[in-house]
Amino acid sequence: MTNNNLIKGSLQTIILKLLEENEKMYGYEITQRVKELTAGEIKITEGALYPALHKLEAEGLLSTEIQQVDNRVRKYYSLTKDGQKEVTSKMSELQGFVENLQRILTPDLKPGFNI
Amino acid sequence: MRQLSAPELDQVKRAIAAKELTSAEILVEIYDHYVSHLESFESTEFEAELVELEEKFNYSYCHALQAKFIKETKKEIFNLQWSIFKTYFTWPRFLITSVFLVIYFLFWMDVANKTKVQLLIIPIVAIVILSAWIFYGSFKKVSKIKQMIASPKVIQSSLLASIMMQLSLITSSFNLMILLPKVFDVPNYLESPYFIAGTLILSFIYVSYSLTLYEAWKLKTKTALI
Repeated sequence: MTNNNLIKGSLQTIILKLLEENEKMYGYEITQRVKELTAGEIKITEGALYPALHKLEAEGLLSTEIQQVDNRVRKYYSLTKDGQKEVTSKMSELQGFVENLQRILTPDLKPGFNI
Repeated sequence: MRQLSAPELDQVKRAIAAKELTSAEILVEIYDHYVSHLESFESTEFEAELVELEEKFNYSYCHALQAKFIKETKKEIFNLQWSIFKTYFTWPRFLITSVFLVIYFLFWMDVANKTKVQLLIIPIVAIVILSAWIFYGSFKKVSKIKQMIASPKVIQSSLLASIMMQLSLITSSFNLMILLPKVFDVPNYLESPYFIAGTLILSFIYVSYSLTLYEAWKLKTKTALI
């Protein structure tokens, strides 16, 4: 399983990317989707997920919607217009970081290498 | 995926109520997380999975999450009101703002000093009525959550708590404006240019606040517990 410290730095990007692909998601759904996409290799802990979601909401990158589902209330998150812009910038930032990391880990790699 | 039985749901509700949380948003989110998780396991695994959830969502974690959420909510409502306020100075709204400011300023210049202070009461009353309306709407929305989770604490929307705190700041600033010159025995304070300038600044703040609060509430009421 991937070290939690490695995930922490990219958690916001993961959330934003998932919400870009899925119109709206709720907290538990996000944890399960990440688990499913990574075959259980990455597990987002609740301790990190909810504060990250609330922070993104306060920054105006996510909007929330309360819906009645099976006799309970569910809070859905979706991207705002600012959030949609932020996904692109966060993704290129993360990709740039991964490329640079790859260059450090594999110094023989050509400079034009792209993931 | 299965539906939880009534005794299982009661057990979940009791476990969450024991956390003594007050934020309706946090309660809703934790309850949904618990039920969504437990629904994906057989009834034989229910107890073990509930214990596991209780370890993750322990008392201190939930209260830390709630405290952070309340802090973020204050920031969110302020940022929303600030972004609305900025639109008053962008085209084409700037036209309406300018006309309003000119008319208000001309009227304000024309009235007696005592009336200038009395004029402050109009936006304050508007803010109080709007806050009371928001409180009522939120109370109705949150009452279902209160019935569902019989928490020993008073449950309310964190957004509402932030709005009520802002309301107290507004009324306190008005009280301070009136009381300070009396406390310090300032003679003829109604004629003081500082006092008059203060009333103008406060009336601008109160009117802006009431308008931005109304617009922010209109935006949030569709999706939030206010």
